[in-house]
Amino acid sequence: MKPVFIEGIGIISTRGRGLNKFEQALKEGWVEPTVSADGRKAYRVPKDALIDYNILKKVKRSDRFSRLTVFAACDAIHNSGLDIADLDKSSIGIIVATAFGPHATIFKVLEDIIDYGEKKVSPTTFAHSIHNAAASYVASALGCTGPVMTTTQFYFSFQQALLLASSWLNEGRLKKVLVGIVDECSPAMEYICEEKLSVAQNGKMSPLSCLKQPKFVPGEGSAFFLVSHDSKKKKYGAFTEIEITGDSHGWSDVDLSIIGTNAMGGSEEVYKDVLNEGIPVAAYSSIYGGFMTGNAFECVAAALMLKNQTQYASANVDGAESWNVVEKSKKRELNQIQCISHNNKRQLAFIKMMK
Amino acid sequence: MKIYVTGLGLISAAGEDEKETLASFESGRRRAGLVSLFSTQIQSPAYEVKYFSRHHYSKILRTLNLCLAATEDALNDASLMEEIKGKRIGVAMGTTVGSVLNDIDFYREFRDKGSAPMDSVNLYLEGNLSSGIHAFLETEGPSITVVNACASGANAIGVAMSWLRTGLCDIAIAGGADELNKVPFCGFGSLGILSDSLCSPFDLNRKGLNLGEGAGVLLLESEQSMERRKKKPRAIIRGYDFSNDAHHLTSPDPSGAGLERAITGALIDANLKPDAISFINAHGTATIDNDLVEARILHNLFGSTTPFLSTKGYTGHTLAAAGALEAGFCILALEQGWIPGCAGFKKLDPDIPIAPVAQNTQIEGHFALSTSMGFGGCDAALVIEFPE
Repeated sequence: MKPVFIEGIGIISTRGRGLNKFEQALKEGWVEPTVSADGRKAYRVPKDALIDYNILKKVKRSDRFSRLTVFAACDAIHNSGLDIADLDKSSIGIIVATAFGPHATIFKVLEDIIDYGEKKVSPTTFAHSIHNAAASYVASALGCTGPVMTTTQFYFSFQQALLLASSWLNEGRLKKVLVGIVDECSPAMEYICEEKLSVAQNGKMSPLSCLKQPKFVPGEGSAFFLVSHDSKKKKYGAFTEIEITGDSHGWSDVDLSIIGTNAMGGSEEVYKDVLNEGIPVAAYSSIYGGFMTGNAFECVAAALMLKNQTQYASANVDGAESWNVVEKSKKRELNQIQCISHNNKRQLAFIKMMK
Repeated sequence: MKIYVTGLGLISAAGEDEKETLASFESGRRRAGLVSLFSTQIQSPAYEVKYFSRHHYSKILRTLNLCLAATEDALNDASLMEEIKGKRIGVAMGTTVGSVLNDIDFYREFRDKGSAPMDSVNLYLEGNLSSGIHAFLETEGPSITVVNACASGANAIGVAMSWLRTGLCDIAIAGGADELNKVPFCGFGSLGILSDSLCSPFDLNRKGLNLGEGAGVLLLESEQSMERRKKKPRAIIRGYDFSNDAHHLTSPDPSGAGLERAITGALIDANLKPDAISFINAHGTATIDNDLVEARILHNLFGSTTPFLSTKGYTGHTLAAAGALEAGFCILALEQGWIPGCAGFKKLDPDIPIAPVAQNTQIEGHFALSTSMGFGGCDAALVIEFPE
């Protein structure tokens, strides 16, 4: 794969908006999740992270899902040092990957039908309930008239989106691609998680314990990467390999492996087959919670570590005695990192990143 | 790089297979009626796949069911059903309904009681189109479900082309599917764009769209793969491009600039000039705005002599299936040498500068254009060639 260089990153997590807040979260490690009125624990994005009138004036009527998307996407452009006004707006593609889409808004449409009848659905709510509304807002906010695509899958959604971004660049279709993920919590989704998964009652996910039934705390957020083939614009290293096949075992020439946890993929014992004892392993999902597209957060963590030449301690090492776990944050030479995740068929996906 | 079509699967109200579809086109038959799949107070004809007989995939979402059936047809058409193992096959599918958890009973019960059965959630979690096909066929290759509203089917074909052109796979199963579903039915009603009578694309008295359902699947291959398998192509996808209006969530940009960019880009990709196009299968939803913008752009780019039509009068608007079904219809038309009349069109709107074909019309040449437009400002165009 031709290296895909990272020019800018935008991220919104439970710790707030921006790379600095995410980096601070990596340094601080695990904290208690938020607790909703109905007692459910989740790593939710704070309300103040989605207030920015400079952006909101362009997307005034947007729903929360769209705001999560637009803010992180705009931040990735800003972080790259590009001025939105100077962008070649037809040569940037946008890919938004999501697992569950704007489901909270979809439930509002259902509420309209239930409460007011079939003929009284709010047209504005319906328009926002369509999966690609958020990507459309990104295009409008940035004035981008190039290809805009929304994709959805429960597993490997970010990896597939990244692979497509790489294809677009390889084809010469575009000079840059803004590729990212977004997913949100809602009371109904948190209930579904509770019913289908094993929620960690103590609020601590333990991704490194590789459990048969992983303990889970729902999370949400958004993360975008502005990527290109232009090595001179590189700010955070590059994506160099993506493998999404059932029989891949990753790479042995990396300095660190980061594993992801979403719990919906079931047993994490599958990681035992691929983790090389000689390579340190880390996991950070207990900081921001588990969600199907959270692998992008692991890639943000990797990008920061490669840039800062610093490895951050795993957020929760419970049950990880047998692994070569990163227990302390420290400066270290890091040239390559792989991010690993799995699906419910025991298949693994790998993203390799380099300095 | 040319991408070859070696198999087709087309299921819509116009027909459950190619023969039935062509019979509908030839006779002008429009199989629309009152909604029977769910109860509704909204009075708008719908195009259901009423006689869908393949229920062997029973415990899955109807959208995935339609998609799997069309995929099976495309694989059989390409003589590939028994040869899948060991091949690098990508799956790119577009959908709208198949991507949303919109079970009204589930949500009502959760809201009222704080808990609800997980049956519909489980169906939804197993219903992702590309993942479902990937799992069903045990393919190895890239897999993406495109949710670009009504342009999804065309965009999924475009994704597959990108994969094939960059060597990520040798074969791709691409297209789109959507079932008729109560929630979008209410949603389109709320936008005021559902017609209470049969839709009439590009007509002076058009009142909006009719929803439909179906699946369109194309089996795409690289030249090397096709030659290795000693298959002859049914068609070639010569060009593709897509663009965004960056204008509005549900209305097209009145200038049509996004659609114009997509069509121009697809022609450049195909290395063709507009006069090479034999006919155009337009998106033509029969809404006031869509048809006005689209016809103006077609007139700007192709003048008034290139025949065009919308097939929505035979299928209804099948949402994410539309772009793929209509690409398939273009292939049928190129093979047959004629296009059907634009069902529902009677009288030209004076604001629209060109008229679609009202009757079945012979065509000459080898190239067709299929356009798609979707909410969120999505515009896509495919140039399709009939091989010599």
